Amino acid sequence: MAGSNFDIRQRISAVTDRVPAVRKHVPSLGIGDRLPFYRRLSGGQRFAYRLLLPALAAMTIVHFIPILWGLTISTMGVDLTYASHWYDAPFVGLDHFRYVLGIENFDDVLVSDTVVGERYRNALKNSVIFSVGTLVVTYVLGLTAALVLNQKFKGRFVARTLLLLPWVAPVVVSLYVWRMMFTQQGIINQTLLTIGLIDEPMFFLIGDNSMWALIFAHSWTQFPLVMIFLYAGLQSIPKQLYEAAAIDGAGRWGKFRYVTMPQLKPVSAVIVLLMLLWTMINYTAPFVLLGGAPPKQANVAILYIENYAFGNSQFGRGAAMSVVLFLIAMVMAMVYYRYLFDDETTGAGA
Amino acid sequence: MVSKTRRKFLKVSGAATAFGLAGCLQDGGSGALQTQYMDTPGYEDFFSKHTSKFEEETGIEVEYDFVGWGDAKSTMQSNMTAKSGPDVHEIASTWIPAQVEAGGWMDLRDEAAAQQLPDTSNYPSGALEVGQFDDMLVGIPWYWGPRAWQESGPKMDEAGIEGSPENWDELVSQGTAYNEVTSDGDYFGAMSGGIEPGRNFAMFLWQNGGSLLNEDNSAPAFNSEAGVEAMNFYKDLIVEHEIIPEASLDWESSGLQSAFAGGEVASTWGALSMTNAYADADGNSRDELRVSAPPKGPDGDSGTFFGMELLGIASWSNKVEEAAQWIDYLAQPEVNAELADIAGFLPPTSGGMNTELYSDPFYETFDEEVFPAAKTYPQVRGWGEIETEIYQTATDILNSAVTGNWSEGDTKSALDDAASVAEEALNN
Repeated sequence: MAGSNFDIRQRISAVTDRVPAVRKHVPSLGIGDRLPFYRRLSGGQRFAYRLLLPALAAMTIVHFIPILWGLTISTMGVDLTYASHWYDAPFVGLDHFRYVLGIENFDDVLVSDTVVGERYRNALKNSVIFSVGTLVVTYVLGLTAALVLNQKFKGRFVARTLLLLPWVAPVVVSLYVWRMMFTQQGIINQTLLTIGLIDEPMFFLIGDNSMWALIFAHSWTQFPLVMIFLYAGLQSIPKQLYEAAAIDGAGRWGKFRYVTMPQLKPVSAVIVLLMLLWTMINYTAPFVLLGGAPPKQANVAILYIENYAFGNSQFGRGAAMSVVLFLIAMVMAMVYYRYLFDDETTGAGA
Repeated sequence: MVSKTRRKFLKVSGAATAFGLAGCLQDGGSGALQTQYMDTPGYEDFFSKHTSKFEEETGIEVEYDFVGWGDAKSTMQSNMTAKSGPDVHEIASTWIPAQVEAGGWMDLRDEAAAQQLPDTSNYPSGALEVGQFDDMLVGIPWYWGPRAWQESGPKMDEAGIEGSPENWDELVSQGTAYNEVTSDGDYFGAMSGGIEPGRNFAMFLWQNGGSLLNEDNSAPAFNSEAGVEAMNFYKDLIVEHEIIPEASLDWESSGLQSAFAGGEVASTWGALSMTNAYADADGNSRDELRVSAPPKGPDGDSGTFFGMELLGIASWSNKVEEAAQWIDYLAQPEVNAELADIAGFLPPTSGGMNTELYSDPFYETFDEEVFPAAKTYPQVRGWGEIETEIYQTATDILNSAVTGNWSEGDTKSALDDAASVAEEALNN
């Protein structure tokens, strides 16, 4: 362990030793010297920040400013009247948050005081179900496919290409095909009727089944990505570990349980984080599959926010809803990241 | 040193030119009048022909663009926020209050526009009222159309059904009789899903003697007893009487049109676009269609929904006179009738209705029998939110019913919830 840290330090110093030579080519306006924070940094750290600057500048324009603007208008009464001069809209403090979360009075915060609050809470709950459901389905499908591809068999290359198709195909096209298949007269109902599993056509896009349809169709477009992650993880597991496990008497299940899954833990952690967050803010799948009037069972937060904010021109309230969703996603990410970080430092992930 | 300075000069000039050009293009650099309409089959040919003709007559160049119905509202909102975009727009009547509040439209009574625009006395007062809000004339009526009861003569004859249903009871009895003699997959009537359940509910509500808002448009009234009965009647046509197929909740308007044209359903409530879809299908003829006012509710009202499209000038336009001239051109009876025919609606003026295109007696039924019973949404602030609320609520109730999740009292409770949102929207 100490040896590997030493290697890393050596490699870092090999780079930083060359910093002065490279620094000459990096333009500086001397702005940094006026910033106390920047003045305290070492030469190497300053250089690192300069290299990060273009990416940070782009992120500021694309991400940070819109987030700040969203935060700002979530406290202002911005509707269509004020859309072109939002800065004139009245300041409403946290009123929008109280309204969209249904906490007009604090008698019982678990019960929404407003209809919109009740629907928004339902949409948040649906988003969580959608995210967790998609994670489970994509992980199971992705792991199964990765394990199969990790075997040596004839036509492995063709199989790998075919399994990537759902991810490579334009997502809107894939989802429209799913939408057509899920209708009452679609191929899924016809197949189930033909083989006698159901007596009459089912609704997949309305009612209780709509969430399952949404999870399945979205998972279909996403599982190849999970498969690629896990396949790469499987490829990097040293064969010696399997040999050692075999010597210890482990069978197929034992090897999977005690070698494969622990070794896949780091990549699985990344998958869990990404799939949860990406699904929570995914707009394409719910919109294409369920349209502008989604059933309440599958009306996820991102779709509800868009329909509410733009359908009703209530941009301030829509921003408040977005801020809540953003905070939930951030908290989830932070908790998970903290858990992961702690886990790694205690050596469980090694 | 000299070459470095020259290089810098060239770089700066290049960047300035690029910015300048981008600025010009942003401002509609060609100098032509910019116009935008809803994306409708047949419009491309119409506007290609008439923009050329208009340019020949007036020397004014007109550029046109189309926006899908699904994106139109947000596109207009973006234009209004940025105070830039096309000079002339097709306006949907139900969006007028919110868009007037956003300062999106100019008052067409303003001198610069009024001198060029068509004479408003040619328009029925009802049509002109739709284009007015907040003491402003926002749009010149372009085309409109009420939903009529339409049924396929051959399908009804085959099932032994005589005459169109006069009222709700006859609607149910005819539908039941039709179901008894036809096979599965052959339906008596249908209404589409998407955003239509809100309009369908409004229609049944009017037929049942109810109204969407109270008399002075200050409070919601759609959750009244008449509203609950109307919604339950709509629901029961699907789940209890099985006159409307459950599958139709999955259909958009185009799905309903193809089902009607293809003979899957024998009747429907539809505008002229439905008639055209039926008549255009292979093996069908418009003469086979029977058109009448929708079946009356218990209150004896045939109330039906009509939508109207108007032409307006953006408040930021700096080509007001040219824009007004273009609207005046499009409002000419022959031109207006040609466009209305393509869109599947009716021209709003008697001049348009008297043209060759609308000479068929068939159109008289729409004009004389259906129009008198036609109503549209109230022009009131906050209506956009209320409309969304109504169609979401109607959709939820129908979805619950067909998936077996509806129970007694749910309709009232859902409409009350919607009414509380509507109340808040009206008072906001």
